[in-house]
Amino acid sequence: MGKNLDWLRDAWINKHLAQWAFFINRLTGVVIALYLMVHIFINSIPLIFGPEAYTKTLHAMETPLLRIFEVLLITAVAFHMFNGIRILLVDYFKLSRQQSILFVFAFLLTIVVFIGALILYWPDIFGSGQHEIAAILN
Amino acid sequence: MQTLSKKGVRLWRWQRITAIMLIVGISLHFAVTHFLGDQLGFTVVNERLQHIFWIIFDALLLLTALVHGFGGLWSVYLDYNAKGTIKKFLGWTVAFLVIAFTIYGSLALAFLILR
Repeated sequence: MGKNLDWLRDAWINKHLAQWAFFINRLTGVVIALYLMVHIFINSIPLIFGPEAYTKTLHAMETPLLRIFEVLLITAVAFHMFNGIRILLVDYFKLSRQQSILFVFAFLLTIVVFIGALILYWPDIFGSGQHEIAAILN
Repeated sequence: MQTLSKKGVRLWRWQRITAIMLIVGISLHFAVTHFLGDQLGFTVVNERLQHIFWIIFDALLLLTALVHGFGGLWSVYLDYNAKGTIKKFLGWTVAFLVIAFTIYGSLALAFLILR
């Protein structure tokens, strides 16, 4: 059991960015993988319950709590993607020496996406709620 | 020189291939579902999926995401002393889940397309 927690210990005692990148990439990856399965089930509602039930469910899901979850999910996907790009760059363009700087970029881009998502969903979380995203964008 | 396990490299390589596909795919998927439509509901999704491009795109994205996601989960498991019968069993379970979710997701997609 102790061996299985090595990854937690490693993330804590190896105080360099690459270790944290590895840890957060794994964490976000697992979360997103689990979300994917939920996402497939939600979009299979027309298959099982029909189109009206699908639309009703999507509308029912526009609660502030789920909006907050969506912002966090978007942030998780953003980090996983940007860090993933960093990994691809390091691997295929041999940028091992620049991996720390690349991590800083990935992290900053993630923050930008987080703030963007927060702004986008702000009315739905704190405001009167319904359909404000669509109203803003159309 | 030690030879690399062909299976290990294959998993590594497929993670990267699917990763590159997903960088484009997920970005486009998010953009089209959130920014280019009206209030999210069956109608909006159904209309988008009348175009053959989005049908193929969504189907491919489904498979790619499942391979990358379960490939990643498998990689995590491999790091924790994976061996023996349990490893074989879980390996086949993961393969089954990828296929099962692909079939189920494709059926779901079909019912999002049908009017």
